[in-house]
Amino acid sequence: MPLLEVRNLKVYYDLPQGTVKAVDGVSFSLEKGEILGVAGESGSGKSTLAHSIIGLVKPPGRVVDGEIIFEGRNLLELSEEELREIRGKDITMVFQDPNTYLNPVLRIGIQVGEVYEAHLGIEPRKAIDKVVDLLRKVRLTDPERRVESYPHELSGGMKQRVMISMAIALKPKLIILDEPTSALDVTIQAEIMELLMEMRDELGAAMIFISHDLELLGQVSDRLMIMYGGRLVEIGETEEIFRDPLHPYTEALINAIKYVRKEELPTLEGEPPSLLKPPPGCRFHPRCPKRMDRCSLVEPGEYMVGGRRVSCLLYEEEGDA
Amino acid sequence: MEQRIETREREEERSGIREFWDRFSANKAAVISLYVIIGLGIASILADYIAPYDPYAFDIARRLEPPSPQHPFGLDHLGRDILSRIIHGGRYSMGIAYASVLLGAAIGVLLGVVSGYYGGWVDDVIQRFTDALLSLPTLLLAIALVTVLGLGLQSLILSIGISTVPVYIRLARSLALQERNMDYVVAAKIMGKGDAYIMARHILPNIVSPILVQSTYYMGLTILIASGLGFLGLGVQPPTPEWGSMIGLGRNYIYAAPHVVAFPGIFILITSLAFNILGDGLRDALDPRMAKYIKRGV
Amino acid sequence: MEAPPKMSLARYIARRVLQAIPTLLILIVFMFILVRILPGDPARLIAGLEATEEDVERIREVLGLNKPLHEQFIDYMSGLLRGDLGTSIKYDRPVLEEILARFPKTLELAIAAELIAIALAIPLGVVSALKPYTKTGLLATIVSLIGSSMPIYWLGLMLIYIFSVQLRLLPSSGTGTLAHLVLPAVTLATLLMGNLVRITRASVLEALESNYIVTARSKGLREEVVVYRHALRNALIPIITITGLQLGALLGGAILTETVFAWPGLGQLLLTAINSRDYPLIQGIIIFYAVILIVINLVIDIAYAYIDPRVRVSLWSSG
Repeated sequence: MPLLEVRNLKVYYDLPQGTVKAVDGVSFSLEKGEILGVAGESGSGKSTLAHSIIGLVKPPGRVVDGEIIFEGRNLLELSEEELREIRGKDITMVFQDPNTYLNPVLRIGIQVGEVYEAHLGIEPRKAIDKVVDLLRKVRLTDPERRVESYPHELSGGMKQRVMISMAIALKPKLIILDEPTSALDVTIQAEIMELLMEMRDELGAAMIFISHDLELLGQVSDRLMIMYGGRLVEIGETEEIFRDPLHPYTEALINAIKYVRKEELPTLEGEPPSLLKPPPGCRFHPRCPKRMDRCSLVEPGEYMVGGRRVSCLLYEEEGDA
Repeated sequence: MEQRIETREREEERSGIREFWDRFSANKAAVISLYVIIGLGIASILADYIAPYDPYAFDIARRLEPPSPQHPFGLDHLGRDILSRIIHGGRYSMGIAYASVLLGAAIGVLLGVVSGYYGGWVDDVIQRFTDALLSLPTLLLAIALVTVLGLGLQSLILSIGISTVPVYIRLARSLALQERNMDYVVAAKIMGKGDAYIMARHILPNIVSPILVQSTYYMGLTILIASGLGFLGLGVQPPTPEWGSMIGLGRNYIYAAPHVVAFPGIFILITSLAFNILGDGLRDALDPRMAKYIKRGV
Repeated sequence: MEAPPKMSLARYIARRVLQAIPTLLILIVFMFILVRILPGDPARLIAGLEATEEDVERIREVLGLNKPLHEQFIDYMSGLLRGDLGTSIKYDRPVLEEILARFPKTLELAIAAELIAIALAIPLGVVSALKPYTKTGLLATIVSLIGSSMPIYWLGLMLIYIFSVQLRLLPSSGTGTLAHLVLPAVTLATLLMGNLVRITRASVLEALESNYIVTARSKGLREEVVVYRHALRNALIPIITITGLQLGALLGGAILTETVFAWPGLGQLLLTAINSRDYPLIQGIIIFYAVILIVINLVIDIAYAYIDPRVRVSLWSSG
């Protein structure tokens, strides 16, 4: 049994201008201890996907359909209290920008200690020794003093270490990383990545690693999932995808890395799709170098090619997944 | 070619107005408020024809008579018909508010745009002056000014108008500061357009909506201030009917004849309320994000 | 990274005081010039219609109005620096003494009103933000609109009619007991309610939208803890600021309230001064108000720096 199985997940945002289908029928699974990289442009739905797993989609967003099965239980059917017990303990999350995801008016010690408060019933102030140990573990310098600090007194990298400490405190089974390094300086990014990988090796936790840095994902992930316009484009072993990308979108991304070494996801020609009025047929067809006449008419299904699942009409004859 | 572009711009403008109206008219309370304001305005303009009695005709024998079918709001301490006085009084209570908001907005927006556009010492001087005026609450500032300028309609409008100026300066300045660095302003500068031209043609049209919303809220406030001054005896002088001074004169009879005070006050409340609700409706229909710039309440 | 060096509180206060001085100075000059240059001769106004030319001349001399303008200004400023606001014409007493005799009553009224407004508006604003589409949400909207549109002097008179005339529960005017304070304070509190409810709701809503709330929830904290510890603590900062800033509006509104309830405060003194054309007193009261309000703003800024650790550092370290 996989640790996590997401089936046909749909997360929509009801806006005055219409409904945005941020995640529109995405399925994947994750084994224990596995690292799944999720790549996509901004607006591809990868961040919404991450938030929906932990039950934190902000209104007006809502999960419309699908199942999120974690250790055999469908998280979407749990009560708020049952979900709360899983959040922060079995499934944790590290967010993109530590500057806005830490509360500016609470001391670090309290904010980290709250993890123990929520799940072990220890008051944050009484958990201070545990917090200091934890902060030492994420190699925050001078942890005894840092528990008394406010977030603004810490650098970006230090704040992200604090965020990571909260995520690993209770030895979670799944850690969701939502672009954990993209708000940081390049030099700090490497340090944080090193720490994350070290923590994973120690805990053996599974990870969903969301990033637009495909190269980084190539280095750390076991399997890779590419998203485009709220849909899954391709999913499979990272190595295989890098060696032989199937979907024209994946191919374009990987070729771009090979030729230009850039920080960000290489940009493709054309606009990312509007999620309010997605193009008919395949959402990628207006930008696709290999588009066929049918691509603007028929929505591609998901097809199994070897061990991989890909959503492109080029592979239609390979059969539905 | 050029003409076609212009036509298209006009069409876009028109569809923008339609879109605005669609959003605005979805807000029932705001639409009703607009009707109330228009209705009150028409009633004041047509006061001579609508009012059932002469607002100045007194009948001491029937003073303080309570409401009756002939006089639905009763008679005041001199036996004058209160309904007629309210209808006529609207001219003053609302007229003063309209005139002073117009005056305050004109002066304030001019100074604010200049302050934000030029920056530097011009900005410093105007801002220190604004700080000083802002350190006094609007009502107190209006009282101070009216004391100095003397009693009378013009000085009343001038006093209330000036007391609203600092808030307009702040608003227009912060908006102009944003616009100043916009591409189209920079482009106009490169093309050698004069500062006055840029301010009038480029900056002003882009800051009109927040100023309109602020002015609508300020109508609600200046009606309270104008009638408050009237109540204190510093506003419109008797026997001219004005809602605030009607309350001021009637307060001595609150024990025996509360209707003398009650009805004018209800009209002040309704009018001010209508402007406040309309302001909310305009803000939401134009751009809810402007809320952070707008000053509400006293 | 070391925390930035903190500026001492004393230096911070000193800097803010220095910033306030030009503001005050401009206001004093503004009032001074207005009183002397704008229409009408104050001496003649004070003397009244029946006064002879000698009477007017005598008043002019007493007030120093016969001297050139700059001399008058120097006299006035040097007086101000010594805490001398001039002499009241009506009471024939130093203006400052007269003001200080009345101010405590106004302060009493303003503080009572502020407390009532806080006690009612903040809970209402918070609840309406947490449960926006309920009856409480609607009530908050209504209170905030009516609060901003209420002619408080009229409300005061209506309250007198209901509670003093009809129900005979509370005194309609005067001062002395706590019962005397109830109606004026409630009336004046209405002035604040509208803004306070609106700002409380807006700042709680804004706090709830913040990213750190997502973090707090992701830790598995109970919703009550998320709301009270994380959202409300942050929302408190703008609420405290606005509460302080509204003291100015309160002093303005107190003029109306004091008139309605014959409350012997500074507002009443100002109206008496206006009616008897006591220019030194009028000028003194306005300047006094300005000083009080500038001081209040100063205190809020400092309090703000205490509450918000971010501001504490950025304010005390810059300059």
